[in-house]
Amino acid sequence: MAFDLDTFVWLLRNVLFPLAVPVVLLTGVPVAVWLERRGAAFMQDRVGPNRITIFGLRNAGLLQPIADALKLLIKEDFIPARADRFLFFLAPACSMIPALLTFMVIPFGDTLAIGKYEIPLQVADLNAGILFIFAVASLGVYGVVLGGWSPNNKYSLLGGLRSSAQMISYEISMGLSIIGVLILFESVRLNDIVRGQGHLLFGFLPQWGIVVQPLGFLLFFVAALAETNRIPFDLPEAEAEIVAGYHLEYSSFKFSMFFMAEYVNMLVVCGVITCLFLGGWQIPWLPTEDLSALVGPLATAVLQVGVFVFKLWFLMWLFVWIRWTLPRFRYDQLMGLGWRVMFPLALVNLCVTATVPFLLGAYEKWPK
Amino acid sequence: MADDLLKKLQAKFPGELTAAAVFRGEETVTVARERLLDVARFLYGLPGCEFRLLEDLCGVDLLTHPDRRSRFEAVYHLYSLSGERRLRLKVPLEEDDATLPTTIGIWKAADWFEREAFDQYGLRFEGHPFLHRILNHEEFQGHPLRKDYPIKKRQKLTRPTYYDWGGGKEPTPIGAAAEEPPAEDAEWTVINFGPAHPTMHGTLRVLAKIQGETLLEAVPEIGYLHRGFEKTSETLTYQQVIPLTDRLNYVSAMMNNVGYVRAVEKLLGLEVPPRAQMIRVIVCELSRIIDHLVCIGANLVDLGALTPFWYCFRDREYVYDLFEAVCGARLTTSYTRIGSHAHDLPEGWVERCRQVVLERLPRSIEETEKLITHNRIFMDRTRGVGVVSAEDALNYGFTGPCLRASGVPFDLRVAEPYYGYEKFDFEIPVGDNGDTYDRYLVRMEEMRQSLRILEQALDGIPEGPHKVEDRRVVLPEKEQVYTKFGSLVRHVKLVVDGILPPRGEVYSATEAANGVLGYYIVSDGTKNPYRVKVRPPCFAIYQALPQLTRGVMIADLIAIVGSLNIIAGELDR
Amino acid sequence: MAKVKKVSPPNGTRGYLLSERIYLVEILKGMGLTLRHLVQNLVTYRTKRQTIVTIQYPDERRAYSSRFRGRHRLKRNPDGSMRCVACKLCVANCPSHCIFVEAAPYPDAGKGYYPKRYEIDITRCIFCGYCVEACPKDAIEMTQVSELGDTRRAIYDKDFLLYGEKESGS
Repeated sequence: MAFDLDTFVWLLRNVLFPLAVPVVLLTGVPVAVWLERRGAAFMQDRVGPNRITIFGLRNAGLLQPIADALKLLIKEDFIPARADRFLFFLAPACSMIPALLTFMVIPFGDTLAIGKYEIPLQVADLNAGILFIFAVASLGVYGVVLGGWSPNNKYSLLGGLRSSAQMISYEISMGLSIIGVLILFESVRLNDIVRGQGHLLFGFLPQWGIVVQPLGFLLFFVAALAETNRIPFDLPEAEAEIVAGYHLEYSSFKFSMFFMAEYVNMLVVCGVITCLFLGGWQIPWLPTEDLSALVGPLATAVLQVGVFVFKLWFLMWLFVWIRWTLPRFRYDQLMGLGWRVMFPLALVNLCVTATVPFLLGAYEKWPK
Repeated sequence: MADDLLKKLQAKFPGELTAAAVFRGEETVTVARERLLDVARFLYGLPGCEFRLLEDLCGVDLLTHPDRRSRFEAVYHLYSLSGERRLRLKVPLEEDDATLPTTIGIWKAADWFEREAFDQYGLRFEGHPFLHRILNHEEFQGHPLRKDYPIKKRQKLTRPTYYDWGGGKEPTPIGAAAEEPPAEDAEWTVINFGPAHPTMHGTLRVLAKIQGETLLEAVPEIGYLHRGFEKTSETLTYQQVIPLTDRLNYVSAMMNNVGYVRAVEKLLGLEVPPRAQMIRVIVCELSRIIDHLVCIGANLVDLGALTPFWYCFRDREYVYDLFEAVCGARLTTSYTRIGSHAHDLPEGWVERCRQVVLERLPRSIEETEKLITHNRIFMDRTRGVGVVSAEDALNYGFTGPCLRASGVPFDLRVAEPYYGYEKFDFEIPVGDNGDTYDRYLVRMEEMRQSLRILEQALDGIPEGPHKVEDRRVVLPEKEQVYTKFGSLVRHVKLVVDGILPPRGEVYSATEAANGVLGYYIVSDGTKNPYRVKVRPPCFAIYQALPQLTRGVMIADLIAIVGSLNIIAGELDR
Repeated sequence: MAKVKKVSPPNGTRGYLLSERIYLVEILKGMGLTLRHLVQNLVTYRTKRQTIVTIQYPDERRAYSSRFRGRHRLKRNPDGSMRCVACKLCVANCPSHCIFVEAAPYPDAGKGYYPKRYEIDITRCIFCGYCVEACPKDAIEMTQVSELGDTRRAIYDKDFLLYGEKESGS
């Protein structure tokens, strides 16, 4: 069969891309681990991992996560005697799969238009967009709950209980806090929202989500910390109290699945924040058309993906920074914060966003 | 004053106090066990001199003591804050009838001390709610500190200890408080914060009866680090016990050394020269700082703040370097000797110390302060958590930062100044509420005050000898030993025979980082101490854990245990 | 004279300052501190004014003082003979009873005794330095060797303990 560009593009869009994106995402996990460990070390006046060498070069400890992964793989895979075996196997998968799936709707570049082909830099441009993300992400709670229940261990159970309550509570604030963004950009599709952030407010200010919805950003960020079980909300895996909580009894590959799922969740949530609040792949003051005219479509795509990645990793850095600065909340204080502070604030944000611009007549003047 | 108190006692209990003695400035009153409770209550309520603090309660086995009048003695050390004096009460007991009433109704501190006396000697305290073994295993046969206990006897102890919570649930290990059966519809379970646990600093075990996240009862079990310090010290010479004292409170080893040596010097009636006293003050204050750094760092790690831990431990390294320069070891210092020290301060040490004190150590305190003290997350975790009232704290035998955080301004450096503390200008930090936050604040402020004392001390180290001029106690200089025959003979005699103190007993207390660290030494005139009892400050504090943690959440249990600064080496000896 | 200093915040266990109530102010201050540490450490990493305190073992080692209590060493006289005269004062002074000495007279009568067997059970030794303190002949010292990991040797015998001056460094 002769080489057919159409088929090639079709293959690229529908086969290679969906396979490549999770792989790239998973390679982001070692980088995240490296960032965490080195960042923590440098904040604490110490060095962090720096011993793994390849061909004699130390590479600043970038290979340490690879060594860790190898170590985890060759460890003994231990299943507690009275554990529920099916659920024990299912839990890490339940954590990992939703995490990977949610990334499929996040756009990391504008649609690449080469010749007559259009390649959207997004695996699936669902018209449900954000709703898909929330729906699938909430499935991740099952992973934690099952992980807490199946090993038949009180510590794990405590961790699972805490985590499920925490995640459910903060999902509400999470969802409410972004409705403001949805109202302002009048769409649920992520690509539309990102494109909407390319316009300029008052002529000079990029219309990023964080600019028009600062409270929404703050609430969503805090809720994201809670969803991914990061300090200050890492009660479910509080080492001092319940010694690793819901992934206490897991070892070897299952543990590494939980571990990776946590970092993938972080990456995903950072991706969502980038798209909704930080302008996604938008380079401020340089919309796609102008940039394509300057450097060509392919370079534009590369630049935009680069910008997206940069913003995402900046947010990851924020997660790491906060982790190593703050102590953790107690269970009831955490729930109190979620229900008594963030939920009302999110409602207030929603009301204000829904009414004030309408009253000011801003919607007619709103650039779309 | 001495006659005053003894006279009052004689007046109130004519003819019933079998003896009253004064040795090395300490008053001892011997009382028959039938009158113990009356005498105790009288002393507890004596106006102007209420003996509110039960510092120590131990047993002594006088089987091979030349002055024995009875087989056992239960020895109570009482302290009065208002009267600023100490009193020793002794109750003689015979072997076949070693029972006496419990004083737990007067001082709640008696709880664990009586259990230990029962465990180690077999003294039975009638009326004690839970008289079970505390340091040794439940299955242990015999009473190890008795003089006729066969040392070489090996016992295989394999059975897990069980505790019956009642209510038809499965039994789980030990506890002290009697409890009411759970309500019909209350679901509870027992979770074990076992000896191997990230929070349990050292080998502590807490059995927590929880209902969801709420703790209904927390029962501590100790003894996992019991190494038999007291029994071992009966087979060593006085000087040889010093390295063993390092391993008591191992985060501030120097203070244990100093406390022990001070007790032996008191027994001998020696006073070390001013330079030695200043050296000891300096190393004690440095040890106090590093102890508090550990407590705060570890407490914060338990609460999730992982970074201040590193800042605290970074600064400990500087102090460790100083210790290593002065005695050769960082942790197990064994620096003091009876009447002297292992070495004098090396050249340039004072300068280095001054640099550390002025430049390095304040940094970790400031950084922790900036990160944590006003952080609402931390404050929510610790304010109002683990509250102890001043009265309860004193009754439980709390001393040190935990007592001062509850509002009682008691510090032995001020109440019974030793080694020149009365000349230093410093303040005692006192809290109001007795919660975890106050304990943290008190420790932070104590570190700053210790730095103040250190500055003053480093500026005023007197010249002169660091040894006492007593040939029966202090080893001669090595140069003399290599060259002069007389010194060689003295050296050999001191090494082989050791120090021979007069017969008697002393109790010497210093303000260690965690509270009042007391050493009770009974001497029979030979080269081995007859009895060495350590009064660990955290022993009294830890027994209050059930009260402190009733009704809190699991996360609070962690915060509370961390703030009490329980060092297992000291707790279990 | 010592005074009392109150450390608790006012208003009992419930009162908060406004800056404490709003989490963000103190959180941002704390984050500023960790950022300052990070930047300082990154900028001075591997320079002379390095603020990171890690000692990269085994590339770098700690310098110990002359009083450091490391591995023991039996010393020799300038003429090569052992200084130890098997007086067993170290045995008497050791708190862990970990030194075993068996004395034997020198073949030439009148020269005194030497230790036929001198063993330190290193699994019992607590490195307190009492043996050094007890020795009247300056025959034993503790060097700065602290790397004692060994899977086979639990008892240091005379030959192991008698080593040359230059081998006693770390």
